[in-house]
Amino acid sequence: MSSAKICWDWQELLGVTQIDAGAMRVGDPISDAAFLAVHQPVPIGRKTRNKTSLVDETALLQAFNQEWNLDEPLLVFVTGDVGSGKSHMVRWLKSSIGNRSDRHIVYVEKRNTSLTRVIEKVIEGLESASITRIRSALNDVSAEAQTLEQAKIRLLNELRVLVETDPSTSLVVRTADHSTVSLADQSLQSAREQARVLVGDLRLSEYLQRPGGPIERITRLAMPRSSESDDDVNENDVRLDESDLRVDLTQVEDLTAQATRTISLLANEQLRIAVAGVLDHYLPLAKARVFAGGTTDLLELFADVRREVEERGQELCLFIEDLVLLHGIDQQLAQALTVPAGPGLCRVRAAIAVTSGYLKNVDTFNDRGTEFTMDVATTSVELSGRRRFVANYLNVARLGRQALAEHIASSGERSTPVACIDCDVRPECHASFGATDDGIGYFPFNEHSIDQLVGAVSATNFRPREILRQVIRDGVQVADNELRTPGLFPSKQFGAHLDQTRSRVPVAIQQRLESLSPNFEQECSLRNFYSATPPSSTAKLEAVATFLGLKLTPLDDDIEGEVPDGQITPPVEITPPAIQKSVYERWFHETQGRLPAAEANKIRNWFFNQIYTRMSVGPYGHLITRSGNTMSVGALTISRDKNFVIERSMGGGGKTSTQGPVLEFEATGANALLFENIDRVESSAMDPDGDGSWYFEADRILSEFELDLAAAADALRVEMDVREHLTVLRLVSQLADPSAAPNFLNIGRMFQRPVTGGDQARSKFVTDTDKMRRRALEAIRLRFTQAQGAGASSLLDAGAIYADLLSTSKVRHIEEPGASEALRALREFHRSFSTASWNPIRATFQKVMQQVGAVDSFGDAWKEMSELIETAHQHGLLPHHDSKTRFEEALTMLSDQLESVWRFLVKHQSTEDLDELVWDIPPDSLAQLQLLEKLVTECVAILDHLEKLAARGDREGAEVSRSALSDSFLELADILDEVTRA
Amino acid sequence: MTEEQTPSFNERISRVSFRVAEHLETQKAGHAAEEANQVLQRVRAAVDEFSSLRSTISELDDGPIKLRSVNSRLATSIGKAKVTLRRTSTQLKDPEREVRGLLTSPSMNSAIVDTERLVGDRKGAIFAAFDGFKMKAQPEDLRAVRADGLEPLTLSIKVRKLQQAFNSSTPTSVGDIVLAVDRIQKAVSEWATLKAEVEAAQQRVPPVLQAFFERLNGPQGHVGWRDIKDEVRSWLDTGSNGNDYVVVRRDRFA
Repeated sequence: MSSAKICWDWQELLGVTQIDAGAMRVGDPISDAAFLAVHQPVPIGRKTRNKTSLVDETALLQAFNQEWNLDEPLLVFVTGDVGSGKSHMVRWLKSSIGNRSDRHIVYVEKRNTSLTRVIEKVIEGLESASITRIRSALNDVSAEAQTLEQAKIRLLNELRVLVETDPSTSLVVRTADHSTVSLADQSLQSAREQARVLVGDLRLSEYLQRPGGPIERITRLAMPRSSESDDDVNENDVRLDESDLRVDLTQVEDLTAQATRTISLLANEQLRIAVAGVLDHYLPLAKARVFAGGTTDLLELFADVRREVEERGQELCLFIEDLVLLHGIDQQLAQALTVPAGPGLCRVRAAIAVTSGYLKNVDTFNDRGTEFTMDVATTSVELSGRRRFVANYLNVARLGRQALAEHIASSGERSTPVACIDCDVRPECHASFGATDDGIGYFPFNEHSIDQLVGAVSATNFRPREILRQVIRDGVQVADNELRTPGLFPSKQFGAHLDQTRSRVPVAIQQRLESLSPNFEQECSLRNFYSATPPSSTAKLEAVATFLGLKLTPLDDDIEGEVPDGQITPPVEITPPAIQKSVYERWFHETQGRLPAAEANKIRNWFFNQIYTRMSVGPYGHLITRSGNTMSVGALTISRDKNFVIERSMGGGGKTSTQGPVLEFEATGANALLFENIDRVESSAMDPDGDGSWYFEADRILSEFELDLAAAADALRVEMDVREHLTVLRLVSQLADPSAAPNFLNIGRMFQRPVTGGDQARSKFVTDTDKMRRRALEAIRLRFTQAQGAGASSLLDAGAIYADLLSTSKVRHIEEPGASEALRALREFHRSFSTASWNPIRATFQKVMQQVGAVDSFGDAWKEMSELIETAHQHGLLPHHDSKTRFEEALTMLSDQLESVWRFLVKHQSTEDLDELVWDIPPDSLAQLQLLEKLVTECVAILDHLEKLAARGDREGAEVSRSALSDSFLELADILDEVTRA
Repeated sequence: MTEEQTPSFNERISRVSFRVAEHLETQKAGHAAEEANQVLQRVRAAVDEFSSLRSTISELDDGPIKLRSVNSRLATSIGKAKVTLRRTSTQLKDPEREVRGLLTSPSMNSAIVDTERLVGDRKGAIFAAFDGFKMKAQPEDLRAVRADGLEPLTLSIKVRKLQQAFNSSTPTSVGDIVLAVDRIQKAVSEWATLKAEVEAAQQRVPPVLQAFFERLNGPQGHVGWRDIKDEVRSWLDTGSNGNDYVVVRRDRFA
């Protein structure tokens, strides 16, 4: 009977584990109460020039809150990777300093932040004339760029204007990996030109603006964020880098020549980096113009703000939860913040959360202020601290945020009450699952499961966000679902993302549990996560199981009583594995891993050998032979590498056979155990594990495969009679002269494998029928040797079937009626061979016939044609300058056999059944015909051309009449007389 | 009725070989004929040109224009050409003489070339003679007289028309030369009768208007607004006199 009950509210847990401090509203009493209730002090690193020393959060508070009388601004940076708790720490700082009348506090949240909103925050509550003007400009901005689409277009336009109008002759641009590139003269001009086309061309700018594209990404991040958004902003997402400029040509159409050229140029990575650098260089200013009002000068704004704050006798106290979100105004902000205080300008202190890499980009901040890092080793956070970190969230989920806020409001205390105090199962729950010193229960976790899971997500550095996500939220969700059904929690879903295969419970034990335990999944989960010494059970684990209504299966390794602290298995070693695993266990546990070739082949060999032995002595009536890694069972051949397949293995396990059954092994725990035992037997290093039950499993697998193999070989058993076998051999062997009287020489050929090569159709026929031929040969051989043993046959043994040999040696085709199935199959092969041989030959033959009609003699034709071509060539009458050469070259390619091929085809041009004739096609016929076609085409073109030419000549050449000439000459002479006389 | 037998490949080759041989022979004859034809065409073209020139030369020689004579070298060549043409004409009647040989001889070629040069020479002589005649015939006072402002307007138009007869360019065709000569002779004669009337009309144009026309027709080609005196304004306002004048702002004036 289970005592477990759900003592939390799932919605409350969801609310309080909102991933980021930034997702909980600042200034809201409920959120503030929850924030303080879950806050758990952890060590942080204080960075100095050469080293990082571990300090606690009070050091941060002191650094920020110290008396500060210098004019220089007091800057504190909280750095760290994504999810390390930077924003949380800035928020804690803000809540720790409280509200002081001598400070004008500006808190820039991540939640619901935009560039406009940041400036609004800064000027909130201030009323000087210039500030009022800025506020008005900001209102204009928010009135202008409301929709995403509008903002995207405006951003691109601003970029284009900046690229086109900036007169700078050199630029130093940053790349995504924080390195810098200097551009000047030609390189700058070239990069600017391509940048101009990219943002100015209609199609390319549409491409950059596409949904999910870089401009949309950047614009979204500069616009007000959704309050539900709980992720950090990746600093590279607010910038443009070269990967953004890789244009997928399939997504852009109707490109201009210029745009196409730009895309092809951008295939060069160096240019792409330069162009992205140029655009990224202008991006902050463009963003400031679009999202912060073009006229807003932050330096001026901050000067105004500081003047007004100074007038009020206050100092400016600024908290920024994530500087990355301010990309676009961050450089200006940095400059404004670092202006020293002076007459009329108030002092400034600021706490800024930022990733370390991004901080380096903001030049003005370099080497200023104090840096605290949240990137600390998990081991620097004590076990009790890690457990308390989880417990605090569970406590708030049990109390409820509203009740918590009301309690704080009514009692006036900042301390958090403990929800477990009023719980009626608290004594046994805490006894089983454990609790913090002040009585916050770990249920549904216990201390060991917290240690294991936190260790898994924070293997090196402490990762608060991942603990919230993968440990608390995922773990409690599984419990919330499963505890409603007794005996279900913790199923295999618990911690599934972190250790799906329960790596602390060896596969052998998992196998045993699977067969013995009624709650296999739950017992595996408990032994893996909740045990102090996985997989052994202890008295405390028994208590956990009992509380959950489960019963553990007694194992040899179980420990009676409790484990001394010193023997508890260290939790953070969950990865890499706590136990030395065999290659087979790793193959099972590591879903990306592969079984090495040596082990995989060892296993395949073992099964292959076992099967060979079994088949050899088995009552199957097949001839069993073995050669290397292949084995023949009758007519069936199987191979070690293709018929014995191990999932995710090296050494040929991926290939599967097309012949015979396949023995496949999936990557399961049972198979891993089986392999391990086989390996032990094979290597003789150790005895097989346990009671040898693995062998019964192997025997079962082998027996099934043996039967499958025998059945497959039976299916191929040759059932034809000798005459049919000989028919196969006769047809396949393609006797050179089928009409010749059978003699021993020709009969001998029937037993040879036909030569392949050259003619494709013939080669295919030989390959297609090879198995059939070998089966026929084997059957004949068995007949010769009375099917006893594997003795070699001899041609002399053919005497026994000589009569059959004689009668079949003339067979040229297979009659349909009465043919066996195998012979019908051969007939089909023969048909397709005949079709494949005849079709191209006939088609080519007909083409030639269409061109030349009948041919008396090709020899005479070529002779006369040569003479004609020579004459025409001399008088420049040929259609092409190389007609003669082409004709002569084609002629030399023809063989003497052409005439006989041609006569054969002319003779059979009307024959309908060509199957039998296929054997008689003269060798090389198709090639000869194709050459002939080429030559004939050349000849016909020449003849056509010459015929036309000769016809045209008929119309020309009409002689001019002598009398006309004579008369004209005389007439002209007379006219000349007249003209010259005048 | 028997179906026509398609010739075999071999037969076709033989047939084409024969046709090609025939063609080559025909081609040889054709070349000679082509050459003869070309000579004949050139001779016929020269005959046609001279036929057209002959009447023009005859008409001009009878009138006020005298053509320059053919220069002596060309005249000598033409003399030889006539001999060659007549001799070849006779030889062509002898069937024994080969046509190609006769037509392609150097003397025959020179004869035709010299004939074509004579055509060009006579055309040039006609145009040169016409230009000379036109320059001489134009009366000086007609050239100088200003038609603007002459009253009545018809008188002004007549003067312009006469002046245009001399200013139009030389006709491009030899055939038009005779008409052009007639037109000029007629203009000279009309001017003789019109001259007194024009001089009288010129006297009637007020001096202010005369000065206005002078400036207008002077090198500047325009007058300023201040030069539009009352008389000028009054003249412009009369009838259609002002139709041809516009006022243009200085900065738009090209």
